[in-house]
Amino acid sequence: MAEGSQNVTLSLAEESSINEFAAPEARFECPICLSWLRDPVLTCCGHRFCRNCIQGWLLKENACPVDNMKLNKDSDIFPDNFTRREISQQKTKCPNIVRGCLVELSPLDVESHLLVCEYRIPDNEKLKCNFANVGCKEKFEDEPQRQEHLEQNVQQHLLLLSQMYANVSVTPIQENASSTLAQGNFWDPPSKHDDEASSSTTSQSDNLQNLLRALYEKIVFLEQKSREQDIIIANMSEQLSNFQQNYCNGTYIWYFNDFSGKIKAMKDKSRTIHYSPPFFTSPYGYKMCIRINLCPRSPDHIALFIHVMKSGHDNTLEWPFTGKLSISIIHPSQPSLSIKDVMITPPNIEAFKQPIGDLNQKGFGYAEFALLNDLIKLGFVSNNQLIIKATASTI
Amino acid sequence: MANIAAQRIKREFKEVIRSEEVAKCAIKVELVDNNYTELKGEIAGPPDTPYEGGNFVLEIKVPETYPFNPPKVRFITKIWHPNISSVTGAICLDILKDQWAAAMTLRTVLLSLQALLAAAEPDDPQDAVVARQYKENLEMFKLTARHWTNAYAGGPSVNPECDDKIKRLVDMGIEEHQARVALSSYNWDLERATEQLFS
Repeated sequence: MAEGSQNVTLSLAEESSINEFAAPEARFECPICLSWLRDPVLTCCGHRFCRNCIQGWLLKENACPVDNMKLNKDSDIFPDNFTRREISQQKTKCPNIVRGCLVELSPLDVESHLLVCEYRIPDNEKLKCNFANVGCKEKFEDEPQRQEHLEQNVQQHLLLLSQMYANVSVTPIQENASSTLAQGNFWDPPSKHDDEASSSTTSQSDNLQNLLRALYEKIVFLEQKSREQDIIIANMSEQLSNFQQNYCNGTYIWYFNDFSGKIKAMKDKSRTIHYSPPFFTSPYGYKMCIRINLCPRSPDHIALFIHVMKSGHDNTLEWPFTGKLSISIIHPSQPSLSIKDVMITPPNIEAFKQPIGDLNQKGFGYAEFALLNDLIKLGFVSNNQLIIKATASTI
Repeated sequence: MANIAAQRIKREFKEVIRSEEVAKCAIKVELVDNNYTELKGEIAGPPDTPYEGGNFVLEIKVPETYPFNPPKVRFITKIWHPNISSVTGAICLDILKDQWAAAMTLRTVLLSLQALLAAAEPDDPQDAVVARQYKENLEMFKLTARHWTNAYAGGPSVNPECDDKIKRLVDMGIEEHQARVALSSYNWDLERATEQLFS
């Protein structure tokens, strides 16, 4: 089979190289072989064919291949000497003109001339198809021809590739089988029938299958495990951040980031309020947070308040909260400039009663804690960050 | 393969690849082996027919005597059509038989097959069951053909009622295609199809 197909491809290869130079006009083309009319004849219904082509057809049919008119192979076919003359006058230049062949000939003779043309490129100097390795036998005289061939024969090349792949893909597996097996045995418990397993190819591929399956199962198992670990880590880091708040013992430092952006937003929308993350006065103490906003009465001032928040163990605490609170704005480089205010909780105010909602609506602190401009002028804001510290302790 | 056949098929192959129908995705040919004796064709179901939206794959075998004898063509994709066997995919089309002419090409064959999908000839049937349905109950035929197009050719039109009836037979242990054939042959009458399958 291999030899037969090679022959065909070779003859096609030469055919196509002629084509590029001598594709016939429709009136010189035989509808049967689709090539230049060779020894043209005319039917009584007005169609031209090569003599051999139409005679071959009329051996089994008795009608014109183009329009189905009844034709008698002896009386309805006439030599078309007019077209024969026209074709013979169609002088085509030898395709090798690019290399200096000046011969002009009838298109019918191009094929035979090419075989003997002294300017033809010897077969071994022609450009090979890029797919020569996988069995494409076509050769080309120049790059454009090769390009065109590549564009037109994508499917054929894919076919060659897939055939080649079918052949090669088996070999490496078999060659590497022993090494892969060795790796497979590395993980797997030794086979009970060790001798048989390594002797026959079928059991080798079986072993490979088993190895693959084992590896796949391991992957699934490990993936699941890693997912579980992820969840545990997420839970632990959440607990850890809670611990920080629980065990700050009432001293909380709030790094208020994006200062200028948030202040601008507060200026644009006077009701904007920011709350700090919660903190606890002691591990099972009161839960509180700091609130910052611009003073509604004089928007040049920053207001700082402390709010009591609801927590899971509020019922174990004494209400209202009584104790000492302090709020400071810390200067990043000169601690002496830091602003600090200490407050003792006055009795009977709403702010320190046991919260009903998530956080007591009323806070306790200063509506005019500091002038915005002062903070900026004195350098409290560094890296667009303001450091606010709050302490709370029970008495 | 005779030289003339290979040469011609190679030229025709280029003709199809460059034709505007290919550009419009209406027809397509691919090589199956690299000596041009077997090709794979594909035609799109013509618009405004039950085959619209489907892609039908054809097996094309080129005889040694081509073009003096027609190429042997059959449907690989299962199809419900009076002139195409629902079992083998064999086609009843004059130009593939006695009306073949050497001046015809792969392109004209594929276009003729597309035309056959648009205009069935129930009086010259290949599949008698389909042809009878076509003549006696055209709406039922269209519904069935559309369902087959959906099931085998990737057509867009889903018919939940058909799918449901097939599923019920499949649940009884009938193979899906067999169930579809039985139901299609009995105008989707579940009872009669069941009777035929189990008798």
